[in-house]
Amino acid sequence: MKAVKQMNGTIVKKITIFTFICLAFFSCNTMKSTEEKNQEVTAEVTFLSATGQDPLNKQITSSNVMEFLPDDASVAAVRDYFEKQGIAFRYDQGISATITAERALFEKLFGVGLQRDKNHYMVKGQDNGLDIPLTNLPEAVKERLSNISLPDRMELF
Amino acid sequence: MTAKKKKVESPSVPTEIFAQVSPKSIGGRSLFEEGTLATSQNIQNYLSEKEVTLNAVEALKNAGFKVLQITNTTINISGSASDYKKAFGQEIIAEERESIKSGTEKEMVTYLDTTQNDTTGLIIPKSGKLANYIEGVALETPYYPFAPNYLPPTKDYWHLNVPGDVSVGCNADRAHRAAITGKGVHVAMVDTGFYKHPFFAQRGYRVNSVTLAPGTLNPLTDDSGHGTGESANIFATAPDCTLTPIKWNFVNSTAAFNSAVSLNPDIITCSWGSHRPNSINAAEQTLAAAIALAVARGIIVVFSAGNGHWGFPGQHPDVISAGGVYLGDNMSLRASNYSSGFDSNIYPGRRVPDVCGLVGQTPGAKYIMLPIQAGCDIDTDGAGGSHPAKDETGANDGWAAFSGTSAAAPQLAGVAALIKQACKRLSPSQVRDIMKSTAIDVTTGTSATGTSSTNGPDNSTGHGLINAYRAVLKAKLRCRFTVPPIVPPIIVVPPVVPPIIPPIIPPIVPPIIPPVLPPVTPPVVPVIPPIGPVITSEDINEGIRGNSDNFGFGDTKILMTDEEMDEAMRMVDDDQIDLDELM
Repeated sequence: MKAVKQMNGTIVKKITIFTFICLAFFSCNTMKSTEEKNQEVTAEVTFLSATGQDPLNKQITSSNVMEFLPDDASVAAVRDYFEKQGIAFRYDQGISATITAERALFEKLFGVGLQRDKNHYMVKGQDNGLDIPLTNLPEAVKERLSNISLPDRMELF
Repeated sequence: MTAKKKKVESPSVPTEIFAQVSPKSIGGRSLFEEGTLATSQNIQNYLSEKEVTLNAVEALKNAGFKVLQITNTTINISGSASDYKKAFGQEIIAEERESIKSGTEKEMVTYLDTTQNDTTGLIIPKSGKLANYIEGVALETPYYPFAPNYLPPTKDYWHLNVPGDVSVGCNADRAHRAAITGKGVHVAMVDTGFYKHPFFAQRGYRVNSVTLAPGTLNPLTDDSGHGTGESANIFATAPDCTLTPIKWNFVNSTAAFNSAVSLNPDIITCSWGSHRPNSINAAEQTLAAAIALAVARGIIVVFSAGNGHWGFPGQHPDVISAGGVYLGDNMSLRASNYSSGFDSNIYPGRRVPDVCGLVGQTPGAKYIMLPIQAGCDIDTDGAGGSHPAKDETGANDGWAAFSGTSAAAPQLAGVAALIKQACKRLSPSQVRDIMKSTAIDVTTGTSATGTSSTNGPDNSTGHGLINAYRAVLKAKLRCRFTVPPIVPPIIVVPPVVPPIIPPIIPPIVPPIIPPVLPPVTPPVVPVIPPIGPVITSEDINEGIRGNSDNFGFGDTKILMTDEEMDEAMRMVDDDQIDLDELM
């Protein structure tokens, strides 16, 4: 009887310790996961030019940059779409705009998984890890864009 | 002891309050009695008996305080405001008072106090067990690290100081003495931020508030130190320019660059990039376009070439690509073996760099002593060893020796500011051409990317070390003499003369009267006006020394060919023309 009690006691102790470890692990993971989801992700949205040219892989210099600028209607339409999704949109000049959102929203909208490397993000399961697929975007937005990409981290020289 | 100062407002009391408790002193006189000055001569009177101290510790613990340290004179405790209230019957209040935290500027500082007496932060137990063993409780006062010195630390190894050594090394001093100092020129720098180091305030440099690029915080701090240090390189060559620092987060680079463009500066300088030997990615293409657009709008853009990197955007065709030349202790010049030089594979025909600033050698290029935020990354990383591996400065002294092409870019940006002051209307490519054509050729040394310096332009140091004075002179000459545009050859086409068709003679021939032919007119040859008077050395001298209205932007413009400009620059080199005379 005493042996059974002792054995029960040991089992209870083990279960308690196991439960505690599980809870601690779960709580840590939940905290970490929430923190990660709240982190901001930034990407560059590159437009097609007003004449429909794709500026990617072109040598853009001061002598030809005007050819690659988007028209105002494209910028407005893309801005409208992203802002409605709750994504911050900033266009100052040039061929691209910057979008910023919490990681969770970003992953949901574009249907990608992101991984963090220092203070920049990469797309999971991709060769260069920088291209955001446009597949989830509506056609009216997609047809105005060349690409959406995550910026790489620069180095101080 | 501090007398009470003007009270401004009541901020919140901290949750944990630290204090020094003085147990009853052996000499019978309290350490806190008015007029007490504790010195090595009298300190024995303010020690406490061990038993008294231990009783005081016990009583403090019973009152709920944490005892952190016990010495012969005081006991260090911490507790909440309610602990102090219960133990000593005193409400602790927080007050904002004017003080000096760092530098020379006054700021508000939070002090803790009670209303019990006139000495700031002092509580004297009046009754109960604590009063038996304790003569006073001093609430801790905030202390701040002293601001870094505005002068750099003295070190024995060969290095350059700012502004003096960098200025003279880039031959900017002579331009400064002719009042070409960058005044009225706005430089924006995208980097890690800016810390208000006394170096800048003491010299009266003009620095606007930090602009936060998207994704950055804390405009008053520069935890890296890089942006603050490189700012000093700008002022070394252009002490009177106005700088706007843009704080960036290493990742959101196109947006940060566009933040700089939106300020509409004359010059943007960036001491960073990525290693791109063969291609750039999509986000970098957006940065390339942002740079191209800025240059198309007339903004001069300077980027570092890299430190062994094939740096992008340092290889973009529109930027002034900044490389490195090492000035040795014997005043010799050689290619910095820490700096990049290469022919771009991404932009065929693009040689990197265009021109160089002053940069150190491997390992580490710890070469220019620069002001930084005390205790920042660069301050701590360089400390704790001997040169060249470390910079031999303190880990928290607000100074560090570093360089790389990071230093060259702001030096060149400063020189670009001088050129813009000398001749505002020059385009970015004209400014770059002037820098290249007036640089000091560097003929020895090998870059970090393995390219060697030779006579003339090369892919190790480009056109060589920047020569600010010559560049400013040439800019000034450019503004005074207009170089003629290239005129396409005029082909004189003779007037088309209709063929003379002989008259058809009718069969019945009347008496033949010979037709009267009009007189033959020679074809009209258009008279091409002369391009302009031919300039001689005498004219240049006369123009420079004469009334500038005749040679500037007035009605009379004298045209100057490239050959004549070369002749003028030769006169500059022979000291026949001085910048003072052009002013």
